[in-house]
Amino acid sequence: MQHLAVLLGILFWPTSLYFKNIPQDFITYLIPALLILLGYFLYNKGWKFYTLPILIIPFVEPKLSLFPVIYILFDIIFGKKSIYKFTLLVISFAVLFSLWEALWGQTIFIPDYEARQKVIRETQLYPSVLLARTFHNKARIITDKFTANLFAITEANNYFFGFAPRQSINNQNLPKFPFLGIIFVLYGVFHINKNENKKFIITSFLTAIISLSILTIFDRNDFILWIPLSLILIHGINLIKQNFKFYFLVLILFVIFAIPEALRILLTL
Amino acid sequence: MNKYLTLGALIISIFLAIITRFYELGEAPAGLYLDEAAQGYNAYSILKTGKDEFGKSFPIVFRSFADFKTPIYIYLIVPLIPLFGLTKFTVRLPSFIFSILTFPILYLLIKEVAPKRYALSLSLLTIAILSISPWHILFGRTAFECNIALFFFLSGIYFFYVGLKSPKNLLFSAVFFSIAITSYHAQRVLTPIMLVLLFLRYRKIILGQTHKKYLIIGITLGLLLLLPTISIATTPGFLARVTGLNIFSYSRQLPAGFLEDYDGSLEFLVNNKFFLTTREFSSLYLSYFSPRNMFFLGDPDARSSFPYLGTFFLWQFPFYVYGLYVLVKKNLGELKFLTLSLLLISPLPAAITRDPYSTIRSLQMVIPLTVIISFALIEAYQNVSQLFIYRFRLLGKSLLNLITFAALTTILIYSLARLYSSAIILNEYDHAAEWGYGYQQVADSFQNLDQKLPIVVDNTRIESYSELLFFLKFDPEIYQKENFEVSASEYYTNLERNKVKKIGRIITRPIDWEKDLNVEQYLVGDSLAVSYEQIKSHNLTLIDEIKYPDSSIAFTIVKTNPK
Repeated sequence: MQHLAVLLGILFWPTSLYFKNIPQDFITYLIPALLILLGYFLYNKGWKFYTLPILIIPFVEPKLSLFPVIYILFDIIFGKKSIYKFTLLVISFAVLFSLWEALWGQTIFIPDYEARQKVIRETQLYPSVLLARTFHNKARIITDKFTANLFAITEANNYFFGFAPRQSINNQNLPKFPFLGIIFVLYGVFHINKNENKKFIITSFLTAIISLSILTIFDRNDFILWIPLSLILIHGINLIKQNFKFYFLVLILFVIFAIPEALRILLTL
Repeated sequence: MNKYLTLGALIISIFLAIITRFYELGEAPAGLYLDEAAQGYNAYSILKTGKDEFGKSFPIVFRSFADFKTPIYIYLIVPLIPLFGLTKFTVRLPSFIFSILTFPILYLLIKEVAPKRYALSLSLLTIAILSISPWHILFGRTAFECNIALFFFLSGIYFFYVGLKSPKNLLFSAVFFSIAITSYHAQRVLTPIMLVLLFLRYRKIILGQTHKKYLIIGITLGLLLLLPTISIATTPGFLARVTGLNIFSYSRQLPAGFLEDYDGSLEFLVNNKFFLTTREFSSLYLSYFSPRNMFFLGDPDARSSFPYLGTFFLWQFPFYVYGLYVLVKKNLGELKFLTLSLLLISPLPAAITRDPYSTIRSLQMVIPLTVIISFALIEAYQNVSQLFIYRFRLLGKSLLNLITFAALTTILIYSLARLYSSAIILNEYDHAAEWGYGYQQVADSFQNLDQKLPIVVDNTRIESYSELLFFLKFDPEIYQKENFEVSASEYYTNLERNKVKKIGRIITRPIDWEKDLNVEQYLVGDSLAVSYEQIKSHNLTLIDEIKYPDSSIAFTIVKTNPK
């Protein structure tokens, strides 16, 4: 039952992504996630070059060029510092600059004419220029977009309900995990300290949300979160199995509710 | 803490609360929403005739738009009308008063339940944070019943806790809980759940010898107060809101995610209503804990949020996450029980309705969330003290206190400026239509029209009659005589509506171009009902245009010219 629950839990997102996109596009979204997965396996084996697969991600998807830079930066800040890591950082920066043009056009930093007009319009409503400029300025256009993306990417409803049924945003709103999976994910997050690979999971999760938050449209590229979130889900399932007598009941409920959801993915191709 | 310092902090917080809620009360929002207008006019009607707009004497719930409004708020407006007149200020005043009364009660409640080492700091900080809470301010400035219900609900809880030590207070608790249930629809679900939780936790004490007598009297008193409500509890009118809005009722809307195109052999699984409803309820319930909704988007209903402002300030986000973590981890006794109970049960009444993140139905949630944020602030301060004073020895205590004070003052000034920007400046500009802006100007302009000619006010999109009655201060006795919807015996049972309303020479109904052009009269409508093309093609005379603050047309008044 545990294996079935894990399988159902982790297969939702790739399946719905596959069915909602043409195969070529699907592969573009899948490969970065698989590279992260490869990095995870290497990390789990204790191989120090586990970040190498992550360096390849920008060549598959230039929109994710920032991912290796941030990942390695986090690794340096929160891990042991070494010449090897600094070399990797230099390489990741070189990759970023070589793909800069392809990335820049897809980010929230590109000028937004409509947003600027709105800023001008709204500043005129204020009695004081200082007050107007505090809350309406060009920098705020970018920070607001970043915040909007950040909250959308970290929104639990996004992953378990394709956003709340009547609160969907302008993307595919795919079913990503069976909705009762939230129990395992929340439990896993709360006890993330007990996971031996917590450093990889947390770093890849934080790196992904920052890299995605700077994009104008993060939809589908957010599939890179599939690996860290699935790992948390599995961690949660394992912990619940260890800690609760009635775990079997929870797993059965999870599977029962996941079946109609799985059918809906297959039937709404 | 010095008692004068405590008193000073308490006064400053309440003063801040008064400023943020009283500033331009009645003027901002500039319009008056139709529910507010209906509440105000029904109170006026009760004052003048002892009957509501339909001629029903002192109703238990007010029929209004067949949504059967809870009565407490309306009856609270009645004594204010002779003092302040029938104005927007008067209608919103009870909300303001009870919003402020919530502060001392919350202060006492937190002091009562928090562990001793946190009691004073947490109670003071909680009311300080609540005083600038966009969520609580919005409902403290506008006529929503949820705000007064929150006061009675918290008072009920406070007197329950006091009653554990001094059993006579259980009587007050019963009275307050009963009024809370009568005050707002959501409390009909929330209060009983809270009562069950409190009973289960304290059954040994309240069923003990010293408390039993007061418990029985309290229950009797509470039931007596609820008797009028109970007497109509099974009528369609009383149940109108719950049957119309709840996600378990499929009469008006299919469950979210229902695949209408699919009718294959697996339909019992794919479109299983139990599965879909459970899923929808879970997603709605979860939406009340979503940082995206709380700190960024706010309520999707324009009347329940300020532009560019969530229900909490963005700077509070890290404290929400941290506070939640600490609260679950730490053993905080009664504070933990009460905060977590309120946090978990508060979204229930809202989550069974279809609207995602309805802040009006979940207002009570502002309390546990504010406690959590305040608690995190205290914990963060203590951790920083530990780190910088004792571990790294970088700062002295007085310097740290000075830095903390400067930081808090900066945050406070920023938050107040943000509130002013959103609630006073942008709300008027962005949400004018949603707040019913323009009806006051329409009513005023009627005085300048030819008094012999009839006026037709289009009501295709919005029920305009309550706004006109309110701003015209139309004689309730005449209105009751000229309009009929249902007989008094069917007041709570017959949900049929008569959408054509007669207010003297004014009639509110959809414009019928074929017939209305043949009569010399005035037509009033929004930009969709009366457009420039229609004025030109029907040879109408443009009399007046009422515009929103953004200069778009709110209402157009034209005169027909029959040949």
